[in-house]
Amino acid sequence: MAFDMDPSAAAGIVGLGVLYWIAARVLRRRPRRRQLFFFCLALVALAVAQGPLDELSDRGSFWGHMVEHSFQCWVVPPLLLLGVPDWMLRPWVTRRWILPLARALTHPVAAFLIFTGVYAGAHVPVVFNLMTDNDAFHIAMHLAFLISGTLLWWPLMSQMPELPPLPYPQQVLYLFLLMIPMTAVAAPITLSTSVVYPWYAHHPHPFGLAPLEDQVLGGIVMWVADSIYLIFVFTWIFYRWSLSDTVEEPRLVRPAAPVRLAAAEPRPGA
Amino acid sequence: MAAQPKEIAGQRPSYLAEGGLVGWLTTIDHKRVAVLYGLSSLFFLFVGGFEALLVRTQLAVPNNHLLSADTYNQMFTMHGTTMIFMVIMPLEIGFFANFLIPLMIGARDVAFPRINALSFWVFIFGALFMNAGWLWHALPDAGWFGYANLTERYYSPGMNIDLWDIGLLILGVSTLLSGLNFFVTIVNMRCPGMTFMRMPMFMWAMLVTTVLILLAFPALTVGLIFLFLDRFIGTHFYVAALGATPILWQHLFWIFGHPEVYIMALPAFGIISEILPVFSRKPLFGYAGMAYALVLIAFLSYGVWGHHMFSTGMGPVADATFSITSMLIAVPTGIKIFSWIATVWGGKLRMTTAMYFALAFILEFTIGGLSGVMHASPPIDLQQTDSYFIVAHFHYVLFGGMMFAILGAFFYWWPKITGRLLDEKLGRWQFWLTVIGFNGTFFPMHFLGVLGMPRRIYTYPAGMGWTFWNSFETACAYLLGVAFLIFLVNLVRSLRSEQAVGDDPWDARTLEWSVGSPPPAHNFDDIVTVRGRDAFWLMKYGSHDAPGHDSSAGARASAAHAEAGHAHVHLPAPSWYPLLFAAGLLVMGVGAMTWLRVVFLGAGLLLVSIVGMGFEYATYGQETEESRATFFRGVDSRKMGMWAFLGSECVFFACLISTYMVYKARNLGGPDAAVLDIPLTSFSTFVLLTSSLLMVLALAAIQRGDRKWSAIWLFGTAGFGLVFLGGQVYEFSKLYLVEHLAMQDNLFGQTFYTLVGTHGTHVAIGVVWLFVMAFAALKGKLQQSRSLAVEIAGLYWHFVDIVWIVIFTLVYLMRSIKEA
Repeated sequence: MAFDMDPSAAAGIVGLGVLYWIAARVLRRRPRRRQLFFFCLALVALAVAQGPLDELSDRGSFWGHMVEHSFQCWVVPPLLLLGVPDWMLRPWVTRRWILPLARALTHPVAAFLIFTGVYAGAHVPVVFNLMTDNDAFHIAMHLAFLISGTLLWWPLMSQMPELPPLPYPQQVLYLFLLMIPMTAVAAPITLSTSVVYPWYAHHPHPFGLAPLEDQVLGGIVMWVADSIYLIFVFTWIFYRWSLSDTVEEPRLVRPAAPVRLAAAEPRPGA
Repeated sequence: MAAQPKEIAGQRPSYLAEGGLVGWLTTIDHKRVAVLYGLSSLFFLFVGGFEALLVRTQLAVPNNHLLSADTYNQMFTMHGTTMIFMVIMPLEIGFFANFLIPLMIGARDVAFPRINALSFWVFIFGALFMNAGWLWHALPDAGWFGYANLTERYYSPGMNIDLWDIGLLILGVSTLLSGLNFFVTIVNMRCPGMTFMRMPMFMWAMLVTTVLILLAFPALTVGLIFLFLDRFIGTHFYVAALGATPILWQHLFWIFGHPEVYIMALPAFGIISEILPVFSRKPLFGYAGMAYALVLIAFLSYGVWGHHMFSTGMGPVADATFSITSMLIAVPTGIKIFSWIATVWGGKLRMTTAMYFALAFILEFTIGGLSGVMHASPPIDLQQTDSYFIVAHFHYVLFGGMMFAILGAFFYWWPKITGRLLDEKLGRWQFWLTVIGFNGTFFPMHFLGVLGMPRRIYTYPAGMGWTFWNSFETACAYLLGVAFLIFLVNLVRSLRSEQAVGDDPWDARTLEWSVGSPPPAHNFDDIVTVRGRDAFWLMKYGSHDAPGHDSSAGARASAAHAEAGHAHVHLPAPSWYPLLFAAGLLVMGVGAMTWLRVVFLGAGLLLVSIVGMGFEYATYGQETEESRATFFRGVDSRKMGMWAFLGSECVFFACLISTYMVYKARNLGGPDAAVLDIPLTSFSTFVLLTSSLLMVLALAAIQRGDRKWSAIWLFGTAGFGLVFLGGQVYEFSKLYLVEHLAMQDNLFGQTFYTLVGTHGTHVAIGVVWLFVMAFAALKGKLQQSRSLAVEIAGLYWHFVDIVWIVIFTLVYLMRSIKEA
């Protein structure tokens, strides 16, 4: 399938790669092979999203557009976080005025709220219509997905002790809670009996889908496919949790020896 | 049941030692509360069984008129409601989990002992309230699922459904508080070294169950509140006449109802995961996978409620979606079943009655699970729904699954709870009678379903080909009844026997077997330190090099020096307030059905008991700094409890807001959101948000010890809250008097008043709370050390504000947006 990539997207992908290369050169360190692999995978995923998927979406396919969003929210950010070594980020992130900001933004509550705000906001009809009508805004929204997605994944994937990941139990809870806004956004789109976003109603659809069928398929991508994807993420997190807990010596609240509860003396003032 | 002193336990009295009626009425010991739960649930087990036998007797022959249609409806409704809400849940959660959670995680009690007792009293009063229908031949009669519009006043004018509605609301309070309590207990009170990945599998099951309770029950509460308003105020939430739809009830009920299935199933899974390894003398196979499967089931259980509603015509897309998600649940369930089989595989089996029940569970539950996978397919489900096939399916899940696990748990843990063994020979008789009776009763129901016999019919004509199997089932049901009578005899005989059992009769692996049988009131003499999974096994058999070794000499030494110390272990004092609180709730329920004045009496009792409990210590170990340092992991239990409660509230408000959004779009005529006064509400929103700022200042003041300013800021917060409430009163009166919009008038009216009014009630509660706290600060009773009290009130207050931001945005600012 022939497709054109938006020049800004191509520039962004190439720019990201060049930036990575320059950073490694300036810091005179070589990313590990695994990191390099994940970073390249991130670029490929980004290219897939901005290339064929974006093309599909421009030709009027709602479900193609939703898969593109899924790539931007769920696939590219975790790959980036796996691919960029901590030493590459440290010189920028640990600056005096950036660190508090980075701490605030990657705080799980903040990251969760920012991402769900962007994700839910983008699917409000008014905003979505603006996106389909205005290319610049559309690009801005895709960037917002990528950035807020990176924030979202930070508490799960962070490699930096300065901005640490959540403990595993909280990671599981975090993922569990994430499914609630996802379902809340996807279910109304899937179950709607009319075309929600007018742009798709009067555009031809690839593969001969009717506009409503296209919308239902897109909704199911957001609802079922994304949920199943997150279940795989949850599986991976749980696996790491089960390994960490049995391998590491547990952090004891008290010394390891059995501690006897000393005779309770009345507390002053109690 | 006088407790025999144990040699190893060293003459310490068991938790049962102190008798006396007052002691039992005011007890807050988790073990005694558990016993109270156990006794009442056993009573209801026989009530529910009696109802089931009446149902079966009625169906034994065609054209039977032993029971009238009306009585039959009451019997099958109460059979379902009783077995689910008064037998299986309280036995698993109230009895076994309550007794075992602190013992298994090495704690001295649950996180909130008074709330634990309160849960029990609320439970028993709610259950008795619902069963009061026996006296007037007016038991609930619309099925345990209470489908609208059968439950509307127009179709059911009597008090039957009132009892069901209010009774379930009361029972819901009990379950929610238990869920919150046990969640905080498991997260916060594990002994040193007891990481999540070292917890017994039953604890994992309970942890996940409590999360399900917290996030599922609010949906039922919302549904029941709507039903209450329909029946008592005359709104039309479930009446099609004004544009509403009875399907709303099904959505709310099953969003609760499907997780509810797992609320009952997961503890059973946990029980089986404890029994099998002990009697196979092998560790549990695939521990991490088992825990993973529990959490995954919880993940999936919120996306499958629609499979109960295929026949309502949700459309092919929704049907397909719910079908896929429902089938996915078979994956984690399969992980569990294969892991159980692998646990037993190659083990050195000891075939006790508990083991018999556990092994039978695997088989019977799998049969129920397989027919469940069938129902996940919409076309098959459309054939089977509302037929006896469904009855067969869920009895294989609930009886073949949950009840078998519960019976196994009785045989396994009874010695720990009472200090007496159950008789194995009687147990074997009971087991085989149960297996034969159960399969004979329920397996032919698959055939009857396929032959087309519908559920919930009180009699059927001859010549349908149903007669033989129905008579056969009834005979087998009586066999099942005999099995339970043998069980009862066994329980009573064991309690009357003089023969005491040792601390560890099964050579088990978990911590509860390391203490006396029955355990002493304070559970553990020493704070236990855990070095690995199967903690007690490691203590007994760990080698000197292996981690977790605790030589028996050392254990004896610690038991000996505990002798000197245990007298000083501080246990929370008994309290009358839990009983009083539950009585208040009961009086309110009775008042709702009789005279409004009585409701205020009940509310007064509630208020007195809440304030009374506020002056007692809320959490275990709060009295002494030392035990606090020992027991709390990081966050204070009260704070974590508040977070858990707020999480539950999120679901509560989400259900209210979704209903508003859907019903606003379906509004037929009359005033709608266009009449809302946005400038006025913007002002009160501003006031409410400012009050949150003052709350932050109040907390900062108390944390730096500035009592004067903390009092000022607290008064400010409460005052601003009052201003907000004033604005709301003005808004409501204007809508009512000027726009003539009453709650009963249209869909907009009823959903708007309900949503905004519920939020207003939350604000009002917060205002009272803050005023009490402000006066306490003024009188110098709020020291710096108690700043946590302000922090918790602050959490609640900020939450209420955030909810208001959402409501303000969706209800007021976006009032013109039509639902997609």
